[in-house]
Amino acid sequence: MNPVTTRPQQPGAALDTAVLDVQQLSKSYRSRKGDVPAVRSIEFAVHAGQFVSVVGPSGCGKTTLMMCIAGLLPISGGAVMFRGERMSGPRDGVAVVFQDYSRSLFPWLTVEKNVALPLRDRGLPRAEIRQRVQESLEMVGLAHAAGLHPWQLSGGMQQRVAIARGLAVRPEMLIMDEPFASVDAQTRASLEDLLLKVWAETGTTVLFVTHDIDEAVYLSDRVVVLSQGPSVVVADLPVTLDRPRDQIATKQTPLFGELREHVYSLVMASQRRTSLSGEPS
Amino acid sequence: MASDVHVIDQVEADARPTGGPVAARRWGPTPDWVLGVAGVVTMFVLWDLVVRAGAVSVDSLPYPADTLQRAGELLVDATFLTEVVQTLWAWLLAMLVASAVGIPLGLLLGYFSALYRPSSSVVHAGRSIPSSAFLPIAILMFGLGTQMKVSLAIYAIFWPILLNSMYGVRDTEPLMLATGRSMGWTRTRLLTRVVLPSAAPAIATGLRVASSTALIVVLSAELLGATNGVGTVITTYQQAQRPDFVYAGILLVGLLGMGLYYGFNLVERLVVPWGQAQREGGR
Ligand SMILES: Nc1ncnc2c1ncn2[C@@H]1O[C@H](COP(=O)(O)OP(=O)(O)OP(=O)(O)O)[C@@H](O)[C@H]1O
Ligand SMILES: [Mg+2]
Repeated sequence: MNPVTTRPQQPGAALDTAVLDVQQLSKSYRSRKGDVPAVRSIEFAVHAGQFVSVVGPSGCGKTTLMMCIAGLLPISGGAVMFRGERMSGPRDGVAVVFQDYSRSLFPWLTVEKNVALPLRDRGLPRAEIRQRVQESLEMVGLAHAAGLHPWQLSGGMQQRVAIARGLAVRPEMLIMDEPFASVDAQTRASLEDLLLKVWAETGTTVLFVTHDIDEAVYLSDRVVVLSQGPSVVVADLPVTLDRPRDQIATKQTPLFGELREHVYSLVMASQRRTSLSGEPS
Repeated sequence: MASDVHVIDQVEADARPTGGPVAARRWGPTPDWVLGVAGVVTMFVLWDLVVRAGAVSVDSLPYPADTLQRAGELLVDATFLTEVVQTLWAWLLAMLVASAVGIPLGLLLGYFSALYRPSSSVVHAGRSIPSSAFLPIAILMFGLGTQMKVSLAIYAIFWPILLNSMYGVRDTEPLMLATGRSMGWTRTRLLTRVVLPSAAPAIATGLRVASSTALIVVLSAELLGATNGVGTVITTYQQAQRPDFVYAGILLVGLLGMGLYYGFNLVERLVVPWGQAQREGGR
């Protein structure tokens, strides 16, 4: 039933120890008028090989949360535990695909060199690097574009380069922030399926941030629902849809409809609650 | 002039991250080039008409055909060419010294936020003083030779070079830095792998702007009293009442400036094709 168990597991990775454990994480941005909270108190865990989505309304603090988890922003309270160790900065084994992918690729490097970036400084032989880059580009269907520069590619292709770069390190955990937000519906559907395929092949743990409820339900083993900002977790739902999933068949099942509606009502409720309790003044 | 603007637009349009396919990224399309030539031809025709119509006396504005002929004579005149070399030498020295100081200093001031704010006010004050204000001092200090010209030019171009380097560093995309940090890069690696390549297009723009300014300042110093360089040739012909040679000299100087500008443009596109920093323009 559970697709996690059908995919290769890391030896000794017990299912009950979480790869990622977010404990009462809070984050405030400093401004001239004092601290502005973006994330209030987030708590959830991700187990090895799981595909977990985080959904929440725009501006609720998803990017902030993901930057904190990746060790790219200092946190204000709580802790982020990775394999039982407290994270204090970016670490090996965690790869990030940013929301604004076009600004995270280096325009002065070719596609191939962009993808090879995270493999530098690791003492890997050149042939190995080349082979891994080739492999990651093939996974995302961009082997033919290796010699081009990012600005010579369409938005969807740039996004696939960013994904390939994330995959090249063979990360234990891949964190993705609304990676498909700015591509058209068809490209989006095919990128979603591509991601599921790569995930099934590699066994990587995925933390996937999105504001799209359908996307979250379609892709994930679990959906973590955030409230309006400063956000807290309002629900952590298992998604028991069969795998492999299919854009049409899966989305027509009654279970998909139920889950989708459930998540939707949770998001709406949290939004209503915040707007009713209102901001002071 | 119109064609210059086209070239800049072209670079900007091409450099956008979402820019078109490979084919769109070539040298300016042929029509631009044709337009440029058409502009020059039109200018010569108008010039000819103005003189022919007697609107301006031939003593103050010779016929373009005569001017072109004198320009041809100057181009094979060894003394004239020696003076051209003198001018270019002063230009080159100024560019080298100003870049050697301006670029590293700009990188430093841009990289460290603590230095950026205090220094930018000084920079803006410094750049608003025209270098000609220092002409008397420069003559007192260095006399009328190459040193005087070079020192004035250095002052004039130090600011655009410094400012563009500072802005280039400041404008580094934060997400690119985050990308580097997510891969565990140290501060030194971020500097060499992210900050420097990001700043390169802006630095190149600064150098391009500086190259025209340096030529203008060197020539002005020569016209105002220096003892060598193309400018002195022009003043000599002026005193000898030979307007045709004066205009021929001016024409060649214009060509020289144009050559430098396009040369820098070309190098810029070859070396930093990802440049988006054109908008800074160094002004
Ligand atoms: N660098 C920053 N400095 C100050 N406040 C910030 C900063 N970045 C984000 N914020 C604030 O934190 C809150 C959450 O922002 P964040 O970008 O994390 O939201 P998000 O959920 O990712 O939104 P979206 O779905 O639109 O991407 C917002 O109110 C935003 O204004
Ligand atoms: Mg976001």
